[in-house]
Amino acid sequence: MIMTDSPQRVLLVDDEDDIRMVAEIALRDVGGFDTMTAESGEQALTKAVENPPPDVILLDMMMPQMDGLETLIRLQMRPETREIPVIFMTAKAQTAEIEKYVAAGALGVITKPFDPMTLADQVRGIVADGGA
Amino acid sequence: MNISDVPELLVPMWLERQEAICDRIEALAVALADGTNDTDSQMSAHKLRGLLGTLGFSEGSETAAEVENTLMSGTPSQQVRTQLSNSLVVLHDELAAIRPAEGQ
Repeated sequence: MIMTDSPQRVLLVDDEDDIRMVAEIALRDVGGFDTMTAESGEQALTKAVENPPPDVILLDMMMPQMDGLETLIRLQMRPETREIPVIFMTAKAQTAEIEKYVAAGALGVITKPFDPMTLADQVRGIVADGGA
Repeated sequence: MNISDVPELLVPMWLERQEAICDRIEALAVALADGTNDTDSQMSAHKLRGLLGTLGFSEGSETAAEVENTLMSGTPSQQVRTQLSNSLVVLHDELAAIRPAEGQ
């Protein structure tokens, strides 16, 4: 996986409008990121190959139809998206769940509810650590 | 719960979405009391738990979490449904009553 020391462009994937709105404010206005959004796993697969592509994908775990885990696997199966780091957002952030997500290839996990004032720092911290 | 719970940056978004979020809580209260489609209710409670917590309403998030956890652990009795539904009505009313601070 290629690690970007200082990610600039985040693809935010969540099926809930309000959470996308809050996270976009947090990442863009607080964190200074460029943001792209997708409301489903299917849409994320399309947005992830746009030009320029995202430096990191922030992916909600619990979504209807294609959930976060399936979306991650499909991103990894595509040569053009498999190197993009993925961070999960989930309310189910117990140790066993986090280990499962990291084993599947996620760089890290951010717990919901998240703090909008520190979300961008969390994203940068996880990318900088490279999942360590 | 009041407007000072919401991070300042999110106040405009909250004021814009307040009614819609209250409508979601009301719909969940009705569905829970009726026992119609607990799977959808569980998902709805899960989403509200995250959203309300992120907006700074930790008590509201806890109420939604209680609904989610109860539905996850099995089919609740009608008495439990009524109790949880009533908690959601109280939450709805508290959130609906929040007014912007002067100048917001």
